[in-house]
Amino acid sequence: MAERIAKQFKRLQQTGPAAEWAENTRNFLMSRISRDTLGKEQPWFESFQLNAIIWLRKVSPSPVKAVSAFLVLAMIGGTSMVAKAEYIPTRSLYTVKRTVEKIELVLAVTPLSETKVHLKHAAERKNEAVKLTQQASISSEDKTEHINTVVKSLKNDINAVQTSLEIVKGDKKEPQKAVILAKEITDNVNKTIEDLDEVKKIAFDENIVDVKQTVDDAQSAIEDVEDESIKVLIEEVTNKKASSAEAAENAAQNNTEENQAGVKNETVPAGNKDAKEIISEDELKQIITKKVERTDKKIQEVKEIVQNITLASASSTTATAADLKEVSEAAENPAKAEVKLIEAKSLIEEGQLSEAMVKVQESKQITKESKEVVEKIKETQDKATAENNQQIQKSAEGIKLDEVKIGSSTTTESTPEVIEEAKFNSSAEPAESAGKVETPEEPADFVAEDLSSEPSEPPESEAKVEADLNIIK
Amino acid sequence: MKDDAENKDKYLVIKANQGDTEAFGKLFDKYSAKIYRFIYYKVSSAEIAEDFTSQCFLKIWEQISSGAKVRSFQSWMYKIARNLVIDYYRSREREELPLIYQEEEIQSEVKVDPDKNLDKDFLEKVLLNLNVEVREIITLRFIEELSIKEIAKIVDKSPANVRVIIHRALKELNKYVE
Repeated sequence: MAERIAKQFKRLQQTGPAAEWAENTRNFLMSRISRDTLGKEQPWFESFQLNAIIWLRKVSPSPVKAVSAFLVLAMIGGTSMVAKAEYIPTRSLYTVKRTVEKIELVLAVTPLSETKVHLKHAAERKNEAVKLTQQASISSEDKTEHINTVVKSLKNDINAVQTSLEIVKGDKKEPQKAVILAKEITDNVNKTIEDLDEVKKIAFDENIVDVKQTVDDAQSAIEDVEDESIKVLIEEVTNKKASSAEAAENAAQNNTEENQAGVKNETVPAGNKDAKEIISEDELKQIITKKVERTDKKIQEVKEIVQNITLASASSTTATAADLKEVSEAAENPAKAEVKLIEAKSLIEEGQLSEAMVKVQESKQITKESKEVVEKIKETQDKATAENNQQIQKSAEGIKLDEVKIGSSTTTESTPEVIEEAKFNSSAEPAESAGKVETPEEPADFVAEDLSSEPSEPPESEAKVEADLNIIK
Repeated sequence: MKDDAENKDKYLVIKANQGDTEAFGKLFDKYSAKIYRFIYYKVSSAEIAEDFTSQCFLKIWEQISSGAKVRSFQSWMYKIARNLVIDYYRSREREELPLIYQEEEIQSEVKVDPDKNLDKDFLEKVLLNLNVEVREIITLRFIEELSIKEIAKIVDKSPANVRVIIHRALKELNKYVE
């Protein structure tokens, strides 16, 4: 209760001095200040303090502004966090995600940081492609479109990485930067290539064929940038080796001269130990070995395709001599590529990394060309098989129709076995087949006319069908 | 908001020190009534309060022009006013008792309904009936609406001590409640 009285004390704020007194006192004070400050020089720190306060008053936000800014930042942060998980390019959150990525790129000022950002984005695109292939709720058409979009973006990022590497390589003042960049690239791309293989595999399993070319292009771009990086690293390791050998030689020479002069000398360290080692020879060997393994895997894939084609061509009656020659030529290439890889492996062991890399690239080129050829042959074969299948189906349907006509009173069963049997009967023994009709309701001349259309010998198209069936089997 | 007001005061102080009379004029306009009230409810005389307020601002100016460092202008200003009054009473301690309110002591049996709007004269009388030390704190807390921390700085007491004094004062005010 007493608080209520105390609160009413606020009303005493009305108490104040007389207006006249206030004015007089104010004027008196003003004149006093004017008199006191007349000709007074201000120290520099007071001006500085004054400016600091003015600046602070301008800069320091009001609580409302601070809270609003915080809310806006929280909203942006929250949205970008949510957008980070988005992987379908047509959604609006994906646009937010890409905008955030663009900002990241703008903030990256050095080529090294820019490359890191591009590699990060490439890895993100790769993850998106993997997620898209695994997503069951998206239709095949949409999936194809989305995967193509993200893989194309990935390729753009990789191209940007390649450009950055070329720029840094051109900078002769700081050659170490190119080595750091090359190391960064080789550390990142291997996983991306492997995961893209996975994308291709899943897409193939799900019958999404239109993404293969895009993924192949992206992989090829990644391989190219990886090759460039490995070359930079090889150069670095070779230079280091040479300088170490030179230093060791000089040290040995000095020791000999000093020993001759009878002066004891401490061991001179070989090479420049102050320089930080970015990559060792063993690490580089591992990187090239990985590349060899990857190429070997591709050769095995090509060999497998070649084997399938060879089998199919051998059993095919339609395969021409030219086709068979093409297949046998395609079969030789993987073997050539394998030889190159074996040579590369032994060169790696000997430490001739540059030469090993040349062999790997040659092997890769042969494999690539061979793959293109065999895939083309396979495509043609698949097309022919599909056409044959269609013809077989049509023939089977025609036979079924005939049987319906023949066995009008007794219901003809249309199981595949019956169709098969009918096909053989109708082609080999048409009369017997006609005789099987127990009670023909159709006029005899109709039946005769119908049967007369069937040739007594198996037609050429039927022989082709038989051959196709063998191929399918 | 408090920081903003403090920065503004600091800015005006520096400007005044540089010879900007209008800056000091603004400080006077902002605080003269407050200082007047604070002194008035200590001395309960309008003339003396006006005199002390003038002296107070003069002292403020003297200190500013001598380059005194001011952290919180408001607290510093109240402290100057308080010291002026204390010095004045010390010098006149043996001469007389100038407190007029003692003649106007109100009857403690007067009871009021605290929910109704109380008369300004009655409130003044209630306030003036409080002990000088308590009155000073009640003035700063309920009329000038300063925080406990600021009051503690002005009256050179701990915030806990200030709270205890306010609590006792409220207890004393209970006798006027119906």
